[in-house]
Amino acid sequence: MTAAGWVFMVCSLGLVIGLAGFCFRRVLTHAGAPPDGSRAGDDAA
Amino acid sequence: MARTPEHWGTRLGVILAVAGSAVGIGNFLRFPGQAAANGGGVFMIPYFCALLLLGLPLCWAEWTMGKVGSRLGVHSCPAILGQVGGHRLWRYVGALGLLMPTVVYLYYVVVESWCLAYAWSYLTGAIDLGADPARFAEQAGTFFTGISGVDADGLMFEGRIHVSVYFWLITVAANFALIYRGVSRGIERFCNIAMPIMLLCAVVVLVRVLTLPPQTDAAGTRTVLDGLGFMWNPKPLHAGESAFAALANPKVWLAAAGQIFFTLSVGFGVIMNYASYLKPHNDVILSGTTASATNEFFEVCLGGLITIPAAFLFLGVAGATAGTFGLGFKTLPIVFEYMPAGRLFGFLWFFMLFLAAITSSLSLLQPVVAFLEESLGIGRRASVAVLAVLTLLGNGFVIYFSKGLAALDHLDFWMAQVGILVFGALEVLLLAWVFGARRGHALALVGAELRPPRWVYTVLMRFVTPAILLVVLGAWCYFNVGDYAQALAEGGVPLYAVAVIVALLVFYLVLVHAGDRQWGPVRTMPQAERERRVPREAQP
Repeated sequence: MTAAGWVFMVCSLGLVIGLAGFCFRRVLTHAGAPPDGSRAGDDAA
Repeated sequence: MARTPEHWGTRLGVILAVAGSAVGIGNFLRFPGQAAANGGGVFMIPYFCALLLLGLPLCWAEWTMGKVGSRLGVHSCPAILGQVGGHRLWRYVGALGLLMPTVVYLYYVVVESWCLAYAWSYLTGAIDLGADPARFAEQAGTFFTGISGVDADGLMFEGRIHVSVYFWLITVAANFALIYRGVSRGIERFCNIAMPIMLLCAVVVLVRVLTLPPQTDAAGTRTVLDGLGFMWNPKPLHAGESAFAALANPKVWLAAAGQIFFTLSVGFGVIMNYASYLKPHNDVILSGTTASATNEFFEVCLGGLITIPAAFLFLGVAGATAGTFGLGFKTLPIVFEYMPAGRLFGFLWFFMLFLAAITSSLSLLQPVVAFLEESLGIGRRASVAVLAVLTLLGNGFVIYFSKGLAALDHLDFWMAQVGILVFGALEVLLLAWVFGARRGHALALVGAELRPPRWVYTVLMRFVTPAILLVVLGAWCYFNVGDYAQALAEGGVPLYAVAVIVALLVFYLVLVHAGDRQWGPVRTMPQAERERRVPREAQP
């Protein structure tokens, strides 16, 4: 495994784990919020 | 007869269901093969570009269109597209969003049944490659031929019912039993159980692969790090080139775009259908992004670390470059044969693949069930029965023409390679240009817990994503249409596959016509929402 291989692997895994962690953290911290949430922009459609 | 509106039970439920739809066999078998064959680590540059510029915008577009359905209480692709496009002609375009999941299901469920057959064979010890390592490859090939009938057409029905037909029937029965139970009680409950089990199985296999000792054969000694290097090291496509020259090759970008489309399940109309079962003011952006991120985790972090490194460690370059089905069903059984406690890990692996496949195939059936209910005004039981008959006939075509997996390959070519690009382009053009990018953005913000900037809709979805899609489609046609036209001219299975697709398309267009009468003229969204509320408010 070359240094460039390590860089590509670690960056790819880090990006994906970071994105998944960020999303799940937000989903789980909002889990208790009412499902209707904000209605901003409701009339726009 | 008024139907009880269906909704997802929980936020996590819909995320796992959409992620389950996206995570499939391709995450573990197709992605690693594509990456290793297209520059190794360098492939991840076009891959992540395609994710950001094509995958996520299309995903958000489908979730946003699904939100239109949720507000109006319609769930089928034709009804939603008609409303989004503001003209009943778009309902007929929506027939593509039924055709593609149906055709993909026709062959996908067959591959799914192979995974079940392999898992069962590992559990019971029925798969035995013998004691002579020199004959492992031959034995694995024979076993795969026995399961898939790849040697000759009609092998599965000759003289007697072949054992793999029973696995296919069990798989079909499981799919339809779950789909019959409905969105929340069937799909959501199953995905809530299946996704954590898949994760657990994959992590166990990953730990086993990463802790394997070095292997020595005539070619020398290889370690797990060498296997990871084969997958992740930047490597040139042709001898004498720089590794980064792969970035100048359009085929590499095309492979990355195709992989992103296939893996995220965008361009099938599936996400739109699933999103339409949300409540009208539920968030779509965070849910959509989370489902996509979950899929990427399974693909890059698990698929990217297990399959190729394990195959390379035991079998060298030849094992790691065997193609999707070769890698999954011929190479990996050899790897499990070499591996300590290989039978257990073989079972875990193929059981995980089966779960990944069934959570995907459920998502291919649900859009059509919803459409049959809406267009024909029939109940769930009748619509599931109609779809079961239709797909059993189609499965028969795939299973009968099994020589060289020809029927499977040709249906996959038209749907998973051409169809998703075409339908994906139509979807994003419809939302950004016909419905309106600003209006789409405003709709996505209703209840949003992650707020995308407006330029994602007004610039990215309006100009960048469609332009890239058209370039990808053009390049794809340039590289493939000549060969395919020649295959079509020779007749046989390629022509039969096209006939099956055309027959299904005509069938759906006729049903859309029937549905068009049921749905009536297209109204503006406020009008349609008011009309939808009136009968409900009139109820006691």
